[in-house]
This record gives sequence, C-alpha cells and structure tokens, in this order.
Amino acid sequence: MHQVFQLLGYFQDYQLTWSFFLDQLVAGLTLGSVYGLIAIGYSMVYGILKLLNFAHGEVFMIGSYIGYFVLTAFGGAADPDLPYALVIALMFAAAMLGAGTLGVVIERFAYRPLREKRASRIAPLISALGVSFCLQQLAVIFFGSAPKQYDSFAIDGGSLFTRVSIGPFEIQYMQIFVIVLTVILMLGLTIFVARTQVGRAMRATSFDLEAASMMGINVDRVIVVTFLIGSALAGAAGVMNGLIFQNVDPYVGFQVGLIAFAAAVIGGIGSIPGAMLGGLAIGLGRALSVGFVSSAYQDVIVFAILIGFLLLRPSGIFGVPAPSKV
Amino acid sequence: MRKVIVLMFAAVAAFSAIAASVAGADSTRAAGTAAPSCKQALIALTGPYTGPAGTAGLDQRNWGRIFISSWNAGKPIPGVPKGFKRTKLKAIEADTALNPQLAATVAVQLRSNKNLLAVNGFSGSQENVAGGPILRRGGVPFVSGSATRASLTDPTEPDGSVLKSGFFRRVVPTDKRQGATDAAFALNKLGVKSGDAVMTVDQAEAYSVPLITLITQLLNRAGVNVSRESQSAAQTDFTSLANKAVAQKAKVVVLATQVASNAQLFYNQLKSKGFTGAFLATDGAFDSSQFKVAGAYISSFSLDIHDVPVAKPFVADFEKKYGETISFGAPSFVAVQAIAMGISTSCANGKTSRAEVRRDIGKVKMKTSLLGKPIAFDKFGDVVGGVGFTMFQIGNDGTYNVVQKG
Repeated sequence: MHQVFQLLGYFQDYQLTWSFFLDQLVAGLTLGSVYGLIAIGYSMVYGILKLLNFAHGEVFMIGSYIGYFVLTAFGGAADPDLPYALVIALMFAAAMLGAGTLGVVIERFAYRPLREKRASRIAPLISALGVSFCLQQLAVIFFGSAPKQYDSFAIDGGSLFTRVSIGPFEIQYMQIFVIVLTVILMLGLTIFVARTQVGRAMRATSFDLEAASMMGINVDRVIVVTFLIGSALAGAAGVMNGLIFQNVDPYVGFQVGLIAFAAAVIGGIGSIPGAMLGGLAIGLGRALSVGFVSSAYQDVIVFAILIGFLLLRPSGIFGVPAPSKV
Repeated sequence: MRKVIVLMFAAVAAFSAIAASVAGADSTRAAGTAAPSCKQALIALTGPYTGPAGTAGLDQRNWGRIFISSWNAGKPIPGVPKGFKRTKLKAIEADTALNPQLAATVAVQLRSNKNLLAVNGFSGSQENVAGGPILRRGGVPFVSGSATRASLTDPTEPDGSVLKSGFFRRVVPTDKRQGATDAAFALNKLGVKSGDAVMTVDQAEAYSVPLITLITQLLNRAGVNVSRESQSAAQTDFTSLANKAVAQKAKVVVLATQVASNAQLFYNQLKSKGFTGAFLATDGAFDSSQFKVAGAYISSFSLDIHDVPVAKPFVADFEKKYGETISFGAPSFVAVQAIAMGISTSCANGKTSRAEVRRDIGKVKMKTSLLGKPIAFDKFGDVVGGVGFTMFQIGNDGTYNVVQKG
C-alpha cells in the first residue's frame, strides 16, 4: 500500500509513516473531545425541549473564563500557590459549577417564561440568540476583548506538554488528560442517564414531555437538571480548551459552538453518544485533512463529507427518524 | 389583488428611495454639500479597539489621541515646521474590531457625517478592502497607520481600482517590502538553503494571504521546499500543522497573522511537538502582551519607538496617560499628523472641503517624523521615505529586541 501511494506521487514520505498518522489521530481526538463535550449540551437540551440552545457556545466561553480566573487567583500557571494538580481540579470544579449555574439561570429567565406562555418554537430560538449576543458583549465589557492566556505551557515547567510513548503513540500528558477526562465524563453521564431516577425521568421527558408530565414527573425539574449537566460539561470543555489551546476571548464560544452544534446534528441530535461521536468525527476530519490533504480545505473537506453523510442519513449517526403523524 | 398591487407600489417606492439615497451619497456631490469647519476640523480615528487585535488597536487610538492633544496644545511636533498655522482638531472614534463588515458599516456612518473631513484608518487591510470604497464614494480621504496589503495602492489590482489613487494613503511600507525582508531574513540570517523545508501559514484573510504568497514565491525561487498552509484565524488549534512542520523537518515556520495570541499558541505547540527550527511571525503579531515566546522572530514596520530620540517626550506623555506602548500604534500618530497638516493647508483661506483636504494630504512633506524618518506620499498613496521592516527577536523576559534594523 505504501508503494502504491508513493507511486501515485501525491504523498510526501513523512505522510506515509505510522507515527505521523497517529500524531494526527491524537490531535483530532483531542480537538474532537472538546467539540463532543459541548455538543452533548446541545443534544441534551434539544432532546428534551426541541430547542436549539444557541447560547450554549457562550456558556462554554464563560466556563473557560472561570477557569482562567481561578488559575490567575492561585498565582497563575508559572508559579501557582497550590500544587498544580489541585489548581487544575479547582479550575474544573469552579468552571463546571459556574457554567452549570449559568445554564440554569438562562433556562429560568430566557426560556421557561416562553414555554409557560406557550410561545411559538421560533421565540425561544431568538431568545437563545439574544442571550448568546448578550453574554458575548458582557464578556467584552467585563473581561476585555483581548484574549486571556492560560499560559498552560508554563505549568510545572511545561511538563504537561511532555511527550510520552504508549505503544506506537507518542502523546503529550495534556492530550492524555483531555481524552481520559472526556471518557470519564461521558461514562459518568451515561451511567447517570441510564441508572438514576432523574436519568430515567430525563429519558421519559425526552420521549414525550406531556406524557411524562401526566405520569407525575416534575418536568421543570428535569429541564433544570438537563441545563445544569449540559452547561457543566460545556464549562469543563471550556477549561480543557483553555489548557490545551491557551486562549479565551469573548468570541471563542460562537465559532466553537457552531461546530459543536454541527457535531450534535451529525451524531443525531438528541443522542448523547451521537454528539460525542459527531465531535470526534469533526475533530478527526480536520486533523486528517490538514495532515494528508490541505489545511486550506480542511473545513471544505470535513463539511462536504458531513453534508454527504446527512444526505444519506438525515437523522445522523444515532438519530431516530421522526415519525410523521397523518 | 388590491393588496398585492399596494405592496408592489410600496416596494418600488422603497427601492427608489434607497437608490436615490445611495446615488445622493456618491462622490463629489456628497463632498460638495459638506459644511466642515476650519475652526475645529472633525476627523475620525478608527481601529480594532475590541476583538483579538484590541491591544494593537487601542495602542493606535491612544497614539492618535496623543497627536491631537499635542497638536491642539501647540506643542512642537517632529515634521511640523515652526510657524505652521494649525487648524485645531476634534476626533470621533470608531471601533472596527478588525472585521470587514463592521468597517463597512463604520464607513457608511462616517461618510454620511457632512462635517467629517478625513479618517485615520482603516487599520486592517481587509477593512480597507471592505470599507475603503465606501469612504471613497463619499470623497473622504483616509490615511492608515498599519494597512500593508500591497494591492491597496496598485491601480492595476482590483483593490487599487476600487480605492482609486488620491483617497487612500498610508505611512507604512507595503507587504512587498515585508515579504522581501522576511524571505531574505530566512535565507540570510536563519540559514535556510536550497532544498531545506519551510512551512508558511496564512490566516485566510486579505492581509496574510498575499503576504504569505509572496514569501512562498521568493523562497521557492531560492530552491526552498515550501509547504504552503492556510488556517482561519478563528480556529485556534495548530496541533495538526505543528505535527506536519515537525514531520517535514521544517527549518523555519513563517506565520502571517493579525492575532498575536495565535502566534503565541502556534509557536508553543510547535515547541511542545519537538520543533527545533526558527519561528517567524509578521507585523500583525507585533504585540508584546500577547506574543512573548522567547526565541521567536517578528517583523514589524514599527521601530521600537522608545529608541527614537525625537519620540521621547511623546512616549513619556503616552505612558503617563495610557501606560506602556507596544510601539505598534506609533505610525498612527504620523498618519493623523498627515491628515492634520493637510487640513490646515486646505484651511489657509478659511474654508475647506473633503476634496481640498484630499489634495493637500497628498502634498504633505515631513522632513522628519515621530518615527525619526521623513514622510511624503507618492501618487498612488504609498509612503515615500518612512521606515522599513525591522526584525525583532523575543527575549527570555518577553521583550522585543532588534536584530536587524529596517
């Protein structure tokens, strides 16, 4: 196969090595993990409320800022006042708590009143966009427009970005951390949804909100929990993004949010594993496009493939076709 | 049916009104009906005060403010002859956020202000591409302290043909000069030889694409194997490109960007992947608060303004009012000065117009300037004299040290 590609004359020698392929694979998995965690929030909210929560990207952005401020409060990356592992744990805890609370507040004041007034489905969508722009502008006002740098390459003298060999992989500790943490959060969420009473209520509400309500499920509480969990995961993704990609600015949520939304649709909106898989697909698509085709065409290639996929399977990877009532 | 007819009439009437207002705002007519003042002339300072280039934009704005306060107070200014009759200035400020759509919106607002005589800006080349033709149609002269895209002043290029000579001017050299300086620096100082690998990366916008194209061409001509890459500035993960540069054994990576934090991230990611070559960023990344990885090189049209003797009192004034300057905005001081001198000359008879200011800015000749160099304009609006591109290297403490004077 190697010779076939060489004969084709398209690939450079370095592109035909396993190490380069695996490097790109890890880069894609890391990026995809961040997209996936954000996409879960979109998917959970849509699954329950059939609402496209476009403010979710900004919740991710606020989570990233919270992580930055915690890091700064404890002395910064280069010389933290506490052991760096503890500082990172506090960053995640604060960001998840803060972002989760923000999600609940958004639901309470921007969406629930519309739901109670039985507004048309377009109204909450506009409300979501409004919240998104408000949060973005408030971040500009309060945090400034210039990017804030986590400076995570300075943590413990750069040891988090040291590369370690695992079989054929050469991977940085930070990449391992992001991927493993994503898996843990995913497993935790899956167990929560599958095994707990609230999780069962969430599934029932997602299946039929009105019927769930008539069966005695406190639907409002389920919705609050959904926003809390989805937003907390976005907060975690915000800290991950800051740690591995260094920067947070008021506009980061919009772009990343749109990509995560696309990931949720690809995975089958409403499906939690689908959202994660969609995120990983986009992350891998981008990394492999840069590595083997062209960085200039990375989004063209990735999204052309995804459009093609959706044409074949409009409901996404794990989505269920909506029954049409006649 | 009646409703449809009424709606059609309403639509036609609305369309006619819009068309009339657009036509009415065009060129000489708008300039002719303006009623600007020579007692206190109105100009606009524009820049990316928010967004990823906010630090650089605010530095530009603050240098513009320093000029206006010095000018209005009658302080001696380099390049302003003694006894030169000054028309006092008043400035409105507009944020363009390095966003072409926003620059176009700002241009429409500024053009429609009949008291406004000239604009300092736009900062970004892409903003001039979008907003420049709108200012030109209003007859508004505009002078940039940072837009380096070469085609903005080339009448044979689409940009130059829509901006037209006489409207847009700049006090900084073009990217033809930056591209040549950067390529020569890579070849002569960074030891790149024929057959070596180099990666060049643009950020998919109007500033960086032609600049990187030129650098790539010059390196290719020298027999260098150049891997030309492109990644949107909004995408802040360079891991895949870093993997590629390391795998290619690139001797130098050149990044043209207007987002300094992207340069910081990319070089950090390269180093964490084991990259041992040199990293060179272009003038858009010139921001010591955001890009501070030791060892990286950066080219800039701005000298370190602290080192220019005639600038010392102005630097002191700046730092007293606004804190430390990153030097990026210093040419904006000179750009506003060109506007001020043009307005004052046109006001010699007590009256002025945009057309007169446009003409007289073109005739401005400074024997020296804040940058320590003479400034004048050629017929296309490019600076004659002025500074070249200086090469800096970032020190261990994050300071920018000159390694090759421009």
